[in-house]
Amino acid sequence: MTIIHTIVERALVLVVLCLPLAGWAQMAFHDRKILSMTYEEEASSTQRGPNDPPTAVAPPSLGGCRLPVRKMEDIRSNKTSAGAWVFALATPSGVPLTGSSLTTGGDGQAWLASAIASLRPMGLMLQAGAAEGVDVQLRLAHAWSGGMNLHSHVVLQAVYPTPSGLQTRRYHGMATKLNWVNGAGEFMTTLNMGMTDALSAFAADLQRMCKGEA
Amino acid sequence: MASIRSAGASLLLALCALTAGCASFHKPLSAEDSSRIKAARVTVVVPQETFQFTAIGTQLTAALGGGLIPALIDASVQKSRQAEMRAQVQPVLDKLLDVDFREEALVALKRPDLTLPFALAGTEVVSIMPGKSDHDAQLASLPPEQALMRLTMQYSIDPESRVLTTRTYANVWQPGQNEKSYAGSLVYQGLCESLEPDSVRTQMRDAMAQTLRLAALDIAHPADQGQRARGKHDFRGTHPVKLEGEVLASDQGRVAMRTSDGAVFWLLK
Repeated sequence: MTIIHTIVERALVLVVLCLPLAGWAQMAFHDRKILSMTYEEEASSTQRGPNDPPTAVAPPSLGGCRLPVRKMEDIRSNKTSAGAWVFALATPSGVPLTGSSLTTGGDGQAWLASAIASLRPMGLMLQAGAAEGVDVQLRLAHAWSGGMNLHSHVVLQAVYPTPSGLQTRRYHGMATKLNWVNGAGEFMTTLNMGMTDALSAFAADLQRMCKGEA
Repeated sequence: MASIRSAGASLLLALCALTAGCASFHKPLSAEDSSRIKAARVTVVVPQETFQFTAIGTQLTAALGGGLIPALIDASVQKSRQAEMRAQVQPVLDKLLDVDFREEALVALKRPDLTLPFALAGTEVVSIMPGKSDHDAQLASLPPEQALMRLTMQYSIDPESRVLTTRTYANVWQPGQNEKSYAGSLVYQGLCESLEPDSVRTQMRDAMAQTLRLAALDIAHPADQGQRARGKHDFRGTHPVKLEGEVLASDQGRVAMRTSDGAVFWLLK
């Protein structure tokens, strides 16, 4: 009898927990979440697999690099939206029942510029209008909810001058963070984590380019 | 004993409420509404900027009946799996970065051979999910005999099987009515010949066209009357499963099928 009681209690708890969620999901419309697009360096979470051996990674040094960053540009195909929070059941028939878009209330270009500027302590030079330098572009800033987490994918693109002409390279930053309340600030943090991840790949590559190794 | 009966009654009540809440995820269009609507403005909302991939967690929270600790374990496991998937998906995401679902949906909406639930009064593809005031304004701008059909779509691709899946929540509203007239869950699966951008674009256009066809089938056949054939077909992708349901249509190796929860699938045979 105790077992039955426990099962009934557990089931009751599950249903009671689900009820507000089901009710909430019934709300067809939610206001959009406006992201501040303010860059703050965040610890990257998914750059390495969990089974990868630990390695000590020193931040790249860009001191003495002949290539300054001379231009930063937001070239996203859609500068209004940066993804969405969506409620969908995790079943084959699960569809986006409700949700709200993430809109870039701030300026994507300013977000990129402050992110790039965060590399200055490593020795990165910023020199607008330089005859020769690297042009950095923001290709993608996308965040979404999935399972109990928030996810982001940020893509930076750098155009390098090389003896054989201009060479374009892309850097993907990805991040995952626990979702507490679907807050706009949480999504912004997740995007910043993705940006930090992409920046570290860019900085490492720029260092190799400066040393003539790539 | 009395406490068990009491808990059982509460459980039944709660389950009824939950079922009632979930039931409106599928709402057939009534014959009266169907005859009233002469045309519909179709708005496709695609609230994602590129392909997104989401690893599946343990579902421990659901299995244990909730709780913070299982939720944290779930989230942690999903995060690890997400990191493990990265190496596999990143090259695909890079290759498909320029593929824009919204552009392909627009192309598909201009096809002359679309199977539609209503005559078209206009089409648009947008990125922003509307708030209540946006929705009310959109509805108020329609003439009385027209309806608003909004399709909220998400898309994903499984790099291994090359199956493109789109998930669409379709809703129809009429001016002057607070309640939606129709709600349907429409899930499409199609096989990309390759993971090259052009091949994926072709499949995206097909997904848009077939999703409208699924809506038309769902609206034309609002209830299972036991007269149509039943079938079992594979739902493919990262977590394959066999689905069973009422076959609404069949076409060149693919089938439109409605499962017991009211969702309509377009599946590869």
